[in-house]
Amino acid sequence: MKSNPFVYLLVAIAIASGATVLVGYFFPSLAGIKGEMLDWAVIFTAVLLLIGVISLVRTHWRKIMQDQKDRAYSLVLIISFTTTLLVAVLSGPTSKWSMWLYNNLIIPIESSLLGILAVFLIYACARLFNQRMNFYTLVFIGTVLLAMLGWLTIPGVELEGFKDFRDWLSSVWAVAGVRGIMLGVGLGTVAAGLRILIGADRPYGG
Amino acid sequence: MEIVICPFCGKENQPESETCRYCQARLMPLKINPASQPDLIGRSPEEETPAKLKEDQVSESQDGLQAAGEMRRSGAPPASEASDWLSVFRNQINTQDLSPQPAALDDGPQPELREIHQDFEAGAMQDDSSLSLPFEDAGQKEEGPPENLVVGPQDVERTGDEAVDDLAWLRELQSQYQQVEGLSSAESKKGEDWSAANELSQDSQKRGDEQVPSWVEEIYAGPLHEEEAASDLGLSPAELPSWLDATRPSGTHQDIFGIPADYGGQVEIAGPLAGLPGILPAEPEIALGRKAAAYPAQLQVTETNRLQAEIFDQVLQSEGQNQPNPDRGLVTSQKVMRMAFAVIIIFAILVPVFSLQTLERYQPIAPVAVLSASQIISSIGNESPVLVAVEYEPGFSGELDAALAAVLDHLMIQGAFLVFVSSNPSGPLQAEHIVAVSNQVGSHQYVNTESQNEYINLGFIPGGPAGLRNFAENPRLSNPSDISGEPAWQNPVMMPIDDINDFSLVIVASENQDKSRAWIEQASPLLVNAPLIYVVSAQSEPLIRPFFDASPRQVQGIVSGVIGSVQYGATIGRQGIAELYWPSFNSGLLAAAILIVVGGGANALLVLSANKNGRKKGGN
Amino acid sequence: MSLFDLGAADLIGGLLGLTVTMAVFSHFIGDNTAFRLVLHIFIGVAAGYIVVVVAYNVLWPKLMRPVLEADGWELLWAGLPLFFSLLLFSRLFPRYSILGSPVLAFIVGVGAAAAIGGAVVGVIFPQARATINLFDLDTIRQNQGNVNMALVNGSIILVGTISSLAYFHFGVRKQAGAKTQRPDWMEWLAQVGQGFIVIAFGLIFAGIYAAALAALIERMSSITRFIYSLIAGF
Repeated sequence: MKSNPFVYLLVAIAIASGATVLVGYFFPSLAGIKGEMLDWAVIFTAVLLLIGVISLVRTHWRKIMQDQKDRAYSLVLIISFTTTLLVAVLSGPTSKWSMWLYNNLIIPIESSLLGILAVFLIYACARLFNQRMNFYTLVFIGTVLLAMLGWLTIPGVELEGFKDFRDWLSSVWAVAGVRGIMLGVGLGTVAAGLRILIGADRPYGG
Repeated sequence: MEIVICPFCGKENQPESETCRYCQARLMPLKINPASQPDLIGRSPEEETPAKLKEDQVSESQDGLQAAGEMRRSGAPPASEASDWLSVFRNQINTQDLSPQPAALDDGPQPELREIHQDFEAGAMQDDSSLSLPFEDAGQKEEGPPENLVVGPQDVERTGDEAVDDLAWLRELQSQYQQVEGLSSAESKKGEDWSAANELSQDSQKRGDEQVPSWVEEIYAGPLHEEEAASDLGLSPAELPSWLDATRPSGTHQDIFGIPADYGGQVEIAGPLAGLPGILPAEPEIALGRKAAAYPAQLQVTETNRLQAEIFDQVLQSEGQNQPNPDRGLVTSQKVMRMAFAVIIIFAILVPVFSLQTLERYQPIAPVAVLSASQIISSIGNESPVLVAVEYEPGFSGELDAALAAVLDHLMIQGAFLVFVSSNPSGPLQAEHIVAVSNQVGSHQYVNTESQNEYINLGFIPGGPAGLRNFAENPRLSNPSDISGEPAWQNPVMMPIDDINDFSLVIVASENQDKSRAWIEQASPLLVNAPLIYVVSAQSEPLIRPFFDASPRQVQGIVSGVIGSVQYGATIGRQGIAELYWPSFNSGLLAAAILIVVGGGANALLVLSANKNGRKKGGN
Repeated sequence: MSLFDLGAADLIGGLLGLTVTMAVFSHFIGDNTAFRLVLHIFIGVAAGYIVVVVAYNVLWPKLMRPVLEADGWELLWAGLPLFFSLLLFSRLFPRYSILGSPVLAFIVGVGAAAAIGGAVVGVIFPQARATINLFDLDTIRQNQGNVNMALVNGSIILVGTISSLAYFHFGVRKQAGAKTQRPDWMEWLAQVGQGFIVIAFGLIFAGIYAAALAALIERMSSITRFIYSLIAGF
């Protein structure tokens, strides 16, 4: 199968840019060019954000124009997007009106979405007993209860022992598990990054 | 009555028929003019020229040649040996009864064959030059006559009476031949002879399609005389040598040539024979579409593999299948239970708000992480630049506003110059929001105006870890202006700052573990002098703890969630938002613990009882 | 006088917050039109803010203003990011998306390098060193801790760290005729690591509930305050 020479160009760009930045991490002499490359990458990432929003709006616009199902919701989205854009551009991103929208729409909606999660979490935890009951489930539920008891204050009930045990659990046992996870994540990040820098992975196409 | 079964289509024909009336296959071999037969059977056409024949008549080239020559000279039939097969072969060609009879070929020469042979010999001595088999001149003559030799796979079955030992039948045949001569010549034009001679003379067949070859006429004309002569000479019947007989196909023609059993009913749909039934298939066997043999595929699998394969197969099959929508009633047990949980939790949250009695206040014993953070902030001087990274989503405002407001309140009391930044697009707005909240908590009023500048909002850092690294190394290049697009580094407090280490303190407020880790990875290696404090959600505290517990510490202080905020407030002696939330928070935690224990226990009992009932039913 | 001075903004804002909160809480009953409407409003507003922040904070000061203020050869250098950014817009059109691929490759390469550098310098080396220093007696004494208890804790952390790493190791050597699975000692170690991970996840789960509970409390308190202010106003 004939390889596309354009792919080699893409791979060369990725490897060259990545290698320069990586070497710059360990050799300060390359700090200048590394900084410039990082700055350019930051600008391009911001442009990609913009492109993502444009794509989102275009998708919903097409839904409206093509009379697809649920186009009413798309219309609402377009209207709210346009309104916010106008308000924030005309008055400034952190102006009074912009913050009014943020405080009375964004924060209430997101906080409410997180708030109803509290009910679903406890419900799911209660159902664990009849869904998957094994030793590790018992350890999990026991840890959850212990953590909660370690935070509680109940009048007339001494819970200091729970607090100390919870602190010990948090500072020793949980740290051990999380440290292993962190090291694993770090090693995985290095492996994934190296795969990109040697051209094995090409998420940019090709 | 004697009938002849056609070897190709299996239909019945008259014994005197030369070709099958259904499929037009030849039932009798073509008659060869002895005068045109050479004594050089088996030579290549190039070699077998009349001149060469004359020259080589006495020389040997093949066994059959010599045998034929001897046979001709001697006029006597050769013995049944390998060297005499040619003479025997020629004798058989010369007779009408060329179809092999099982008895006739194995035994000695038949009387009629003996007579025919004698006729042949008599005829052969008449003219040597004319002694050439029709096919010997295939390379020279236009018509390469296909020979209908006796060893063709004609397997004519004769039923009824045996042929009488009388040449009268020859005359009878002669008359019949004259009748069917026209038909025979037409048949010969089509080149229907598919014997071995056919393979040698493909070209001659094509040429034969154009006109009736003369040898055909000779063939049919010749035997009338030859037979009479042969009968006079009393030729002995031909004997096939054993090896030649062994080459006779043992199976039916259908087996040999791969003709499908039901081909007789098939009608040819293409070519010059289109419309005729029972025609030999034009395509070779290999081109006939046949169902491939089904070979059993027995894989060596273990029981575990088989079970896993079944499960995988079920999963794949269920993927494409439309699962019937479950009957979703308005009220289901799960919905009822969920509503009950919601009511209980919301009731637990609201009771402390409306009741006159509140739960005991939290008596905090601040952990080391909180104490460390408060000590660091206490050492911050007036107008010291403090970088505050607001990395949490608006949804976590309830928890992190309480925690960060307590810390910012302390910083505002210290008079620090706050520099806000965020790698979230909504972070700059969240920073403005938390400043407003912090202003409500304390008596201070931090503003950012032209006249009064107590904090600055540098805005958004795109690019994830790369952006953070860029900001940490060169914040002026990374964020040259504030959120409003105005130049940000003209403030006297900001002027000495070249990299992140020039800040007095760095505070990261985040609920996201990835963002928290990104700041540690990219910024903490550069923070030689400046401490790093985390204000995190309770869900992230276990994930940041290893960085605090590390030696040397990568994070110098942690304030986590509502609990951390209460502890921090207690440490610095100030009440914040967390103190207002605490009673409801405490009730909510207690309600959750009870629901987990009671609800989980009830579920477990239900499952156990269901299993017991299931076992009982199974046992019965 | 503006709506803010009149307090009408607060009233309308409060009503708006109450409405959207109730619409989201209606999800307890099930998915419904009000809930989906509020979700789409949220997405639209958030998308609008992203555009404004990116335009004000990045595109104008880092892309456009340098081009407008530069001259001569500096203009060429300042114009390069603008040119490549314009190439990125070709990703919106499938036919011409290949024009933006080199810029994407650049972004991916730089991002990968930053991730590698950060992981090695910021996580792997410090955390490995931290695990080793758990048994540093000088550090223990400096922290004024019980040496024996510190060593016990350090041993637990060391075993937990190694076993947690082993839990995520799935590489096995294929052997003919044998079942493909981890060695027994690795399986036992992974089981131990699973226990440590379960404990960590239990604490994280409790933390998530605490965060969600705080958000619910914040919403309930803002609703009650608004209703109280309405009643007090009347």
